[in-house]
Amino acid sequence: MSVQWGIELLKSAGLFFLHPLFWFFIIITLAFGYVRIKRERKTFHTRIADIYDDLKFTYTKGLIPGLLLSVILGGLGISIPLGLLAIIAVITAAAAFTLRANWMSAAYIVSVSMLIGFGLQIYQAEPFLERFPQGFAVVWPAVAVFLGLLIITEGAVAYRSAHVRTSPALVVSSRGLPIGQQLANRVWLLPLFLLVPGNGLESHLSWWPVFTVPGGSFHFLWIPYFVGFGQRVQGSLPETSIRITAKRVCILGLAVAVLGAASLLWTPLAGAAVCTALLGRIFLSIKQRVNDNAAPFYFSKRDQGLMVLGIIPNTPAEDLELKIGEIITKVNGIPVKNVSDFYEALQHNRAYVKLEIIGLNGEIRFDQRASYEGEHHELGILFVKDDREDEAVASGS
Amino acid sequence: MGEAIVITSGKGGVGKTTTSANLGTALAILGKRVCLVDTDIGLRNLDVVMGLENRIIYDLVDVVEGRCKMHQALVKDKRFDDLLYLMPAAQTSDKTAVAPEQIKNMVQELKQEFDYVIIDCPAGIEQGYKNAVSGADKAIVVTTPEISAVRDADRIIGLLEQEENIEPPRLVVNRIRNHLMKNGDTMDIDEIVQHLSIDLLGIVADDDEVIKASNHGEPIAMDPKNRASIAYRNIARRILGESVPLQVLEEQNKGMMAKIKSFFGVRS
Repeated sequence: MSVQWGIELLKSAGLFFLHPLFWFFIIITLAFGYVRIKRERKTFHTRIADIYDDLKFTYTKGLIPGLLLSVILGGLGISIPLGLLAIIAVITAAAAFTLRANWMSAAYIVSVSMLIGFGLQIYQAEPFLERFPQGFAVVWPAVAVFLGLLIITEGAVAYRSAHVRTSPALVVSSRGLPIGQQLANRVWLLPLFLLVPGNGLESHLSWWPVFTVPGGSFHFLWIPYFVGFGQRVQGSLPETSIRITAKRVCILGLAVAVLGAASLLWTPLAGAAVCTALLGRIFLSIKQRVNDNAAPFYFSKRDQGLMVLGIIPNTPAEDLELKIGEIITKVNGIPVKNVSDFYEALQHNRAYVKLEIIGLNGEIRFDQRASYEGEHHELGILFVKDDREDEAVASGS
Repeated sequence: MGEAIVITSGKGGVGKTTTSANLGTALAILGKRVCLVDTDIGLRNLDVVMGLENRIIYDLVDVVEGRCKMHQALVKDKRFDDLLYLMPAAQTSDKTAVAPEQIKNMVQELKQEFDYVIIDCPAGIEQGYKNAVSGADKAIVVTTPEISAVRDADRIIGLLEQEENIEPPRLVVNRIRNHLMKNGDTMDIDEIVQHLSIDLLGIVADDDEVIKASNHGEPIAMDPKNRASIAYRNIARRILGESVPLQVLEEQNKGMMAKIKSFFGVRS
C-alpha cells in the first residue's frame, strides 16, 4: 500500500511541472514585467527592476505559504474535483490576460469558478461533466473552506511581500502638480497539494478525510495555483497601506472559511461564503481606493528636501539603505530642493557622497558612501519631480 | 604661488613615499610644475622610487644649513621636461638636523617656483613629522585597510586638525585587496571613512606592478594602462579640483551558483 501511495506522490510531483499554468505564467509574468518597464521608462526614462523581477517574485515568494496551505488542506482532507480545477485554471488564465494582478485574487477566481460549477450542475451540462472522473461531484462545504483558506493565504503572502519593490509612478494632480504613486502588482505561485476524487487511493483512517470524498477513493494532484494582489498607493507609505489591506483580506478569508465550515451543517451557507468572498473583496478594493484618494498626497514635493519615490536595485541608493518616502535634505553638505540641486551637489565630490536624510520616523540621519565610476549618476534614486525640472537639467540651467 | 601638500600617515609602510612619488608624477603628467620634498632625514627613499638616486649632489640639510643654493640641490627629472623636481633628504644626518622653521622657509621659497610642493613625511609623530607639517597648506593622510593603520591615521588626523595653517586633511586608502574587503577580513572603504570622519580623496588597489615599478625607479603613474596608475592620476585630478568617481575595484568572476543566487535575490 505504501508503494502505491509513493507512486501517486511522485506522479503528482511530475504532473506539477507539466501543468500548462506553470509555463503559461512564465510568459504572463514576463508580460507583467514588460508592461511595468514600458511605463517606468515613459515616466522616469529608466526601468527600476529588470523584466525578470516579477518572475522571481512569482516563482519564489509563495512557495512556503503554498506548502503550508497544502499541509492544512491535506490534514482536513479537502478534495477538489478535476472539473472544478479545470474551470479554476481557465478563469485564472483569463484573468491573467488582463495583466491586472488584483483580478487574480482567489476571492474572484475561485468564487467565479464555484458559481460556474454550480451553474453547470444545475443546468446539467453533460458534455462538460462527463469529461471528468466522478462526473462533477463537488462537496461545496469543502470548496468553500478551500476558498476561505486561499484568501487567508493571499492576505498572508501580500502582508509579507506585496509592499517589497513596488513600482513608482507619477501622475498629475487636479492642481497640475506632480504626485507620486506606488503600484503593487504581484502574482505568487502557490504549489498546492490536493486530493482529487477518482480511482486510486483509499483512506483506512476513520477520522480522515474530515470532508467526504465523493466515491470514497481519491488520488493526489500537485497543482500550481497563482494568486494575485494589486494595489495603488498615493496617500501613505506602500507598506502601511498594503499591510492594512492584507490584514483585511485575511479577516475576510477567515469569515469565508468559518461560513464554509458552517455549511457542513447547512449546505446553503457555502453559497453565502462565495458571495461574502466575492462582494467582500470588491468592497475591500473600493474601500482602499476611497481611503487612499481621501488622504493627503504622501509622495508630493516637499519644502524641506527631495522625497524618495523609488530606488533602482543594485545602485548606491540600495547600498545606502534608503527607503521610499524618506526625504533627502542635504547632499555633500549642500541643501537640495529639486533634482537639479541634487545633481549639482553630487558633482561636488564624485568620489564620496554624504547625505542628510529625514527618515520615516521623522528623525534626521546621515548616510555616506564611496562613489565608483560607472554607478548611477543620481545614485539610483527616483524623485517626485516636474517635467520642467528635466528640461532645466537638460538645458544646464 | 603654489601650494604645499604633506603626505603623512603615522604608521610606517602604508605607502607614503609611493603615494608622494606617484602623485607628483601624476600632477606633472597633468602639466603642473611639481617639487617632491623628502623630509625623511636619515632614511631617504623618495629618490630611489623616482629613479634619481645617482644624480644627488646636495640635499635638504645642505640647503637649510646654507652649504648650497636651493636650485643646486633640486634634482630635475628629465622624463618630464621642466615639470618635476626632487629635493632629496640627507642620508647621513638625523631628524634633529633641521628645525620646523627652516623647512617652512624652504617650502615657502619652493612655492614661489612650483604649482605643487609634495612633502613626503616620515613615519611617526616625532620631530620628523613636525618638520614635514610645518610648511604645508594641505595634508593627505595615507592608510591601508588594516585596523592598526587606521588607528594611527586617526591619531595623525587629530594632530593635523590642531595645526592652524593646514586645511582639513583628506584621505587616501592604499593597498586595497578587494577579496579581503568583500569577505569582511579587512575594513571596507565606507567603514574607514566613517571611522576617520574626513573626506576621501582616493583609493588605490594593491598591485604587484607598483612594487616592480618602484624597484625600477619608474613610478607606476607613468604607465597609462595600469589600474594603480589610473587611481593616482584620478587623485591628482581631484587635487586639481575635478570631480572624479572612484575606480571600480577588481571583481572576481562570478561562479554559476553565485549567478543563480543573485537571480533569485539571494545575497551571498
